[in-house]
Amino acid sequence: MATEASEPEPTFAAPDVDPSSFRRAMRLKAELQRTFAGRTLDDLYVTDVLEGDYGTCLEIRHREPLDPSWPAASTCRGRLQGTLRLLHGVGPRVEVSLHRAGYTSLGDLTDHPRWGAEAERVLDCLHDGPLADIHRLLRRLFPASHPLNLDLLALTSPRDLAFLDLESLGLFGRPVVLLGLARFDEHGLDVRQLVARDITEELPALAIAAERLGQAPIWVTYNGRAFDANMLRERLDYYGLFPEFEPIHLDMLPHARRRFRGTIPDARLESVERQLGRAREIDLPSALVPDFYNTYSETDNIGPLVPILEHNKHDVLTLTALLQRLLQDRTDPAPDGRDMMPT
Amino acid sequence: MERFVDDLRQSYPNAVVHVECLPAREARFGQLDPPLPSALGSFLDDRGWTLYAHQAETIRRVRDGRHVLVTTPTASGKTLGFNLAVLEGLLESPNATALYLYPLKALTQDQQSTLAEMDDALKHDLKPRIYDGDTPQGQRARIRENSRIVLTNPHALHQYLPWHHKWRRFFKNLKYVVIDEAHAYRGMFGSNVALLIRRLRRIAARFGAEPQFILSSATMANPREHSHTLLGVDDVAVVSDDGAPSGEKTMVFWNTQGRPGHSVHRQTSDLLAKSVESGFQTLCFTVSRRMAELIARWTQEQTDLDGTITAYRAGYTPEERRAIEQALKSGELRGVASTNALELGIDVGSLDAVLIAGFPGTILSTWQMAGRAGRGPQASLVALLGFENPLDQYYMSHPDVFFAKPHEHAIVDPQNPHVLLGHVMCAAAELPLSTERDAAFFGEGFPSAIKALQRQNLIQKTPMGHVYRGTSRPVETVALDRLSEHSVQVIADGELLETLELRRACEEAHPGAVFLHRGETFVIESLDLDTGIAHASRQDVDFYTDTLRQTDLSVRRELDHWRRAWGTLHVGEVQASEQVIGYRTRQYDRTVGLHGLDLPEQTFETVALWFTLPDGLRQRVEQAGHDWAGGLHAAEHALIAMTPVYAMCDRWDVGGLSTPLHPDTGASTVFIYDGHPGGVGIAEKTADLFYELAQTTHELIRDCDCDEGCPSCIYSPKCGNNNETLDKAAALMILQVLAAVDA
Repeated sequence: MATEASEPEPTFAAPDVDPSSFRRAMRLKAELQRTFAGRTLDDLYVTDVLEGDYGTCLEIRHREPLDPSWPAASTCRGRLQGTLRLLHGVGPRVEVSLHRAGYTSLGDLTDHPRWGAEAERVLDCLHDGPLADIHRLLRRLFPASHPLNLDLLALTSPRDLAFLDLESLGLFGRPVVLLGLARFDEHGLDVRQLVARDITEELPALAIAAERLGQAPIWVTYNGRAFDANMLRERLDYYGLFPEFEPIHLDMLPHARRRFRGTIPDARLESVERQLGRAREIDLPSALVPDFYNTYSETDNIGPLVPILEHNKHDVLTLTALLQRLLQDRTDPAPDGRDMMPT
Repeated sequence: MERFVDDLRQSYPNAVVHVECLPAREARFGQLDPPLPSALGSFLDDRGWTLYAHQAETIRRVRDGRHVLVTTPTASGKTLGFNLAVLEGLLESPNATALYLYPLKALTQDQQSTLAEMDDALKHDLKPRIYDGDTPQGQRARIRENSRIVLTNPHALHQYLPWHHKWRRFFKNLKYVVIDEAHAYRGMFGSNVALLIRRLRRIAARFGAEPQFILSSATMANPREHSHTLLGVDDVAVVSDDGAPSGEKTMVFWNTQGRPGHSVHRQTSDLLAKSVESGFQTLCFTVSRRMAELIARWTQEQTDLDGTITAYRAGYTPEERRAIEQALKSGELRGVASTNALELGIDVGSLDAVLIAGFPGTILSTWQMAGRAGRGPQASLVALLGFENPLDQYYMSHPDVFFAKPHEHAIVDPQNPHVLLGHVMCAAAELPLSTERDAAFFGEGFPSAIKALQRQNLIQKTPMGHVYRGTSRPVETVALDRLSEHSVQVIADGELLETLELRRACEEAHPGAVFLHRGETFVIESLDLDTGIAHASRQDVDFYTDTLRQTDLSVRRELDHWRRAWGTLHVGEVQASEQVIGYRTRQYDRTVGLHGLDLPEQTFETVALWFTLPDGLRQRVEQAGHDWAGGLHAAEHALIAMTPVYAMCDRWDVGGLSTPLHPDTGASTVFIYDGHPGGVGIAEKTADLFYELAQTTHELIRDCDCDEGCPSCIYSPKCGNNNETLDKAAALMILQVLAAVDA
């Protein structure tokens, strides 16, 4: 049976946003459309059209003169070496008895008849890598918020890190429209935003982001274990690309929750940034990103896209600031030392 | 048992209207060449089992790489047959996986333990696991990554398909999909599941897998057609030659109308008490939960068998239910009154006798219930109690039709534009849609679905195909058991009782309506169609309500017509509008109140069949002193009442309209329309079988003892006109003509 044009078609309702923020956002959108009418992204940003294997997307470049403050490798390595549980077969109880017997670090154990060989192996790993093995061990042994994960970073170069934050039309099953990536280089922080100007540019943007991320051994995200990294993989899978990433993925959310426990109402990045003195003036509720993006892509007026771009850039920068703060704590620990030792 | 039946016959000659004796049957065994792998062979040997003919045939067909439908009776060992076939295949290919789909969550439990037991015996670590809403989060990843057999239900699968990237190993190696109880997938639910299966096949194809489907179903008229439509493939092998042995079965037709003055509930509990007292372990199926409770209590009261009779129904805790199932198996319980919760698959062992209080709507269900009686070669008894309604009474007076070859057709229509649109949208969010490649899955309606989704800006064309770009999760907006556009939630004390489609909400959840839910009564206090909320309060009332309704139909497009000697039969697209204009409060079949309602008209496009009748017939009917309009109206009711004999459906699936003059046809016309927007195939199937339907309906009216019409023939509980102006004699004349029977 054919559907004729005259037949009423089923429609699928939009998600709920509370009415007052919705009205506020709609006023903002209209204002932005007036402000930016007739203007292009080139007028506002340094842009470039990228040509990938699957088509084009737009790149927006920012540079932040940031100098990463990196913890002293020796302090952090010392803490990792003092963690006897990194040895396969050593549990909390064995660790305690080894401590009692005077073994306080992996170095003390190299001549131990039972643990010597394993201690050598882990020590080699801490010096020459692969760090992914240590990272996997830490994940198995400790909660995701454990500061030894941060110590591991001290053994790397800031340039090994890639910061990632992405914007999409919904949680899973819907397109990613913007990927914010940032890397440290000799001049500071290099922020690149890959924009899908319409849905046909999603795959090119994903593929280029995946290629760049593939070159970074460590990813840093906020809630990225649940969302950003998963979503990137899901969308690439959707298009049949099946990427095989095996990065060290440092999700800052559990660390932030641990660091600011009791001082923030929830673990949203917006709450964390207030602690970092980075609150934003106006912000777009995440739930309205799809609406703003759709208006942009339907009208070709960049106005509604601007707050999405700004929101994303802000998130990426907050992420780097958060990491800096947490790393500082590792070299300049809080007086009560609560973040010092494994619990 | 023979004496018991004779005794019934002598004591209640008016109630026992028919006794059918189904003779015992010897087992017939089958051979396999090559034989089963030794692990499976010893599994059977250890238990002293030999393959029956149909089990061997199932395995042979699966070995041939065919899709297979097994349609042998309940308790014939269907499950063992397809489990052996699947396990053989999984042992052969060390990565292969199998998906088992059950219509109800409850059924996966039993099957999981059966499969786990086989797996333990085989020592192959296939890890058969249930994966559904109840699966703890902590176990999910492990199941997705390791299990080679996953059991689930369609609602859950619908939610999981978009996560196929997490199931890659499983889908890539998907070798078998087992669909048990395939007859349950019919009507609106079946049409949705048919499209869900296409989505599953499409995702499997993406990973290079082309699974073999193994279906099992109860006996129906169109097993092959049903499997083809359900799966979207056209080479299903049907295995129907039952080789399992069975004891003699006696089937008693008990017409409750033969004992006026005795309530049906009383007759049921009397019969249950007699059966239990005669030493038969008896299961009694009832039409409602409340009746299950009542029957159990009354039966308990009139026997000395204290504590050995109980009720069983959905709503009991799982522990309570397991305890009853165990007590039945062990023989400790002697009688159980149950809703059809026990009908499907749940293992309670076999019983001596089954009572079926009220025809369950289909012969298919009746046989499934009857299959609960009979232990191996022992004789068993089944009694069907006919109630006061047309279908029950038709089979009470025509047992030959009941025992003739199957005539009930399962109907699904994956081309319903609304259903199709929803699933194409879901598919677009699972993998980009290709207009060429995916047409093979979604059929001729696919291009219009693509266009409609594009117009609504829900998908966008990209070089990789059409990509979903809507803002909500499609699987959340598409429900498998109803159309999802608008629905109403019925809420009592903050608890959600049911979700109803808008049309049904106007009928059942209007302000003042007595709303039945799980055998409890609620009174609806308010209905807000804009927010989709109806508030109800729990009240124990002894009255019920039914609505007065105005229906209009206009013909949009004729699809086909057939000229007959008496006039013309048509099938086409119509626009139906129904408006609930009031309701009646009724107590013991008396109207005690009449109330107006101000509810908006519900308009929808659907498919109908209609026939026009010549003026000559009208003149003959009127000359004989009968009412023409009343005759059309009565014929419409009776035809609709008999539709389930051919097209399996219930009262919500079909609507009707009759009129001495319809503006679109310019003649006296009767319409029978599919109650689901877009139609699920009922009108088309009914038109195909119209001659048979007219004959059956004619027999119904002709053979009913009443003078002027009654609830057993031409009254309809769903009539929006209070069953007013019905003329039985005129209807009989009309149906005589339709069925081409000489007057």
